[in-house]
Amino acid sequence: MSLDTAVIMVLEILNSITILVLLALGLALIFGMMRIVNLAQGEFFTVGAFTVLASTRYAHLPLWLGMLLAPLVVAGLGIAIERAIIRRLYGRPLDVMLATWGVSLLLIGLITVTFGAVTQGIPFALGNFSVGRYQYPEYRIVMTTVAAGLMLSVYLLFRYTAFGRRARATIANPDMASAAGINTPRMFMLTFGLGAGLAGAAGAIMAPIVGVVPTMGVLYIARAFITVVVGGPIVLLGTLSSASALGLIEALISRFPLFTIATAGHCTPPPCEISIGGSAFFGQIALLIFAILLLRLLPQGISGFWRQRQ
Amino acid sequence: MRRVSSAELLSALVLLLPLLAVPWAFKPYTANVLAVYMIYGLLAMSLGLIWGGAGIMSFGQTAFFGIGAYAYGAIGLNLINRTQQTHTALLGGLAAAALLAAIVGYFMFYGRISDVYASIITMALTLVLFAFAVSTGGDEWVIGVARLGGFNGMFGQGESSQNIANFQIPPVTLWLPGMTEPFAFKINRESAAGYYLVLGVSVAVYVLTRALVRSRLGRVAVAIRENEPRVASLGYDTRFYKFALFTIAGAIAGLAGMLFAAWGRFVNPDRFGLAFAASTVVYVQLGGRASLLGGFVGAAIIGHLTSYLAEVVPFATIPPDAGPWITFLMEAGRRIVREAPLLVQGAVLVGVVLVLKDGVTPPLFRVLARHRRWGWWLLLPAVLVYFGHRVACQQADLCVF
Amino acid sequence: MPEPILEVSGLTKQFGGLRAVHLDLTIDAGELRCLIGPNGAGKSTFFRILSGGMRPDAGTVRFRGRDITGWDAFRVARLGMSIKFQVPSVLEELSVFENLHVAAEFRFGNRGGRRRAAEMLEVIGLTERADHPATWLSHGEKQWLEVGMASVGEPTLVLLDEPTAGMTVEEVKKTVRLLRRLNETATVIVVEHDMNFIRMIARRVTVMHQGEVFAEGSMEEIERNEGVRDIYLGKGAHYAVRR
Repeated sequence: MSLDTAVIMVLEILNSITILVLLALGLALIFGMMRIVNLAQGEFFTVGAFTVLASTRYAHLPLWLGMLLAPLVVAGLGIAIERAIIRRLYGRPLDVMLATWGVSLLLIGLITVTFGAVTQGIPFALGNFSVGRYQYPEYRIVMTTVAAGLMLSVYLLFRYTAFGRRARATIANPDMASAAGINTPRMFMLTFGLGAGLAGAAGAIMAPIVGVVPTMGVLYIARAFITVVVGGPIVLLGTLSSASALGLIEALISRFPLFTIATAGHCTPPPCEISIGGSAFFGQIALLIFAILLLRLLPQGISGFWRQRQ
Repeated sequence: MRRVSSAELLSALVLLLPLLAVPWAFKPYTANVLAVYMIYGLLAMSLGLIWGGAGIMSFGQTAFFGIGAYAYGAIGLNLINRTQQTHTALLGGLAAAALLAAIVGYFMFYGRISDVYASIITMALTLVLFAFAVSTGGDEWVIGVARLGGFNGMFGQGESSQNIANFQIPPVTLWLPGMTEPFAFKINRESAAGYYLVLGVSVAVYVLTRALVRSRLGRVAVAIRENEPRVASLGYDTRFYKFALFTIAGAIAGLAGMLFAAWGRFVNPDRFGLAFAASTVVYVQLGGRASLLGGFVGAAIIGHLTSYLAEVVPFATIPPDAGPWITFLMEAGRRIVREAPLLVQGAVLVGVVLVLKDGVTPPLFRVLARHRRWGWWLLLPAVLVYFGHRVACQQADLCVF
Repeated sequence: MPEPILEVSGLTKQFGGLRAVHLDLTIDAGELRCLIGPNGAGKSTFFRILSGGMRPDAGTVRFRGRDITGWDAFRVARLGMSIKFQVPSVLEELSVFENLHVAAEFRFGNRGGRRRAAEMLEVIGLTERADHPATWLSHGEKQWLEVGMASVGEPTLVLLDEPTAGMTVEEVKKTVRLLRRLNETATVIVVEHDMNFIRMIARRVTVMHQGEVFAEGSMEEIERNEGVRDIYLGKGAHYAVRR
């Protein structure tokens, strides 16, 4: 393997990890801190992408402004949903899951009613840079930078601000926290809003490189959940480590065909064969299988395993 | 407790009587629609079994449904022209669904994955199968003569004299020893055999599942739902009980899938799609998971509601001279109707969780159990009047409501 | 010379830096042993390790001559150890009879389980409530149901974690009768706070303190022991003088 191929490979692995981190961060926050399975998270992502679409195409705002607007819009939506629905269901995890799924379907339906069921693209101005014989999109480097920035901000927010201290106290022991004068319902609401906003940011950042369509959240929600589940109870480190492990597998299998199976179809041109590996689809299959095997070995996820070892 | 379940049994009988007469009284269209409601009801019952029984919320029942349908289709397409029957296809579809459920169940329950994670993993399974089924559009994706067909769905490909000829998934076809020719279960103007097959299978599976729920497996499963560590401390390997129930539920879902493929003679990736997975959960949630009949009730209510919505709001063309507001409203109305299934499902999920926690059947059965004396004297005529009205409406256009 | 049925050696469990349990203990077959000690002495943790609900960090548990350290809960139960949890954990939505049936069915099958469950209903005095959901029972009735569930499978060793918590005096007396009867066929270990109750039933008492065996002996010996009085008076004198 020549040097430029190796560099491209590393960049692609980095890109897979970036995408998984972007998808999983908000979800990990909500699941890890509130123990809520939020199935509407994929649609928060979608709403973020559509905010960018609406603000650039219909309001003619610059792209970066749309991208800043998206997390705010989605955080607002998340807070509204928390107040209207989820608040009534704390302590009933299964019902929260069903209700958020209902919200997810309603949002898909409403977005389709508003924007139509077509796939739309968002143009952007960045080009490629060259690595030896290869071209690589500059925008992916921007995405990686933003993802790292988001993780760092979340860390700083929870570690060093008053909000972060109160939120951690609430999550550790709600009764104790409210006895200490912390407005716990408010903390849950803000944490949920923050998780939703992060999903909105992810949707906004990824909007230019994927087709924007009402059902786009569904394509990503499974991978996001797998990343969170494999990550385990420690929110940031767990997400980062599982995104790294899964992203590595996904990028490798997406790139390299493993073997082929000949079939009896009528192909033009022949021969008829199925290549296992070497496409994005098999990358995702490999991700799922790897995740299930990993969970069989470490039922508490990667960071749960660390915690046990301590 | 016992009273409520006798109410359930009686309601099942009251439902069954008119259903037996459907093909005789209605057009084949009605029999077809009711058959597919029953197939969905069967699928919903498999979810109710595992969800109501052991408290495991599986988003993956549609995965087993789809696998059953695809396996039945693939084997049926390959063998129908050689053996003239679908016995092997039926066994193969059932085995495929049960095997997939067993593998997934093994990893989930023996891996001690908590219930919430189990929901996520079954959902991921369904979505991955959807992605897989969609990506099989190319010519290379064939099993013998069966093309997977990507979005277009599965069909068979045989060589005819001039060209490649496509053919459909076969209906359930029996050719037992002693029969002079194969018998195919179809639903059309001449025959309602396919309808009675679906009805018969539904009743049989319902009866068997009821027995299962009352067996040791079912009792222990309910106990696990209540308090799993307690049941383990009584000496039960709770992992095995969950695994077994999950596998059985998967097989029932696969059976429903086979009936579906044989009924429509068609299967496409939508069976693995989110909307279908959602509808199954909605049926059970709305109908109530405490009762095995809940799924059937939910399927019938939702099916009726969505088709009713589609009928009520007219798909009129927008007149060219309409003002911008009229155009906007009409366009919005059309789009809402087009998305009605999704919107209705979403609203039902949220609404039932917030308002009607256990679905519609438990309160219904409670009322029936409490007022047994006259409850039946009201219900039976109501069913007869409704049924008579539908007959009159269909056959002679005498519709009152 | 009675045989030891349970031998615990060097059993250690830590939570964070805190050592919750560190003890050696031998129980002979047929004993009715009381385990007492102030809150946080590690009694409930010890029970959870014994019954397979929790893995110890070190040490071994031998039950009926077999090393059961780290076994799954259901395997321990199959070998003949049953437990009544501290918090009543009956199966709330099942009927009282079904609770006992599920507990008995495991050993005696469907028919046999039914018969045993019916007999046990008589013993614990809940025959009239057989068809009620367990969630309707009073606190004391739930405790008896739990004792019934723990003993209907004819175990060789029964662990009872606070069987009289929250009971009236009359209810405690009934529980004592139940325990005596249970002890005719099974070895019993009881964790209790209520000294009156322990005086009524105990032959041999083990005092736990900070995860270790602090003292062991007959009730009279324990009551004379200065150290025991100190840890109780220091940590929670009301236990000793309750009622």
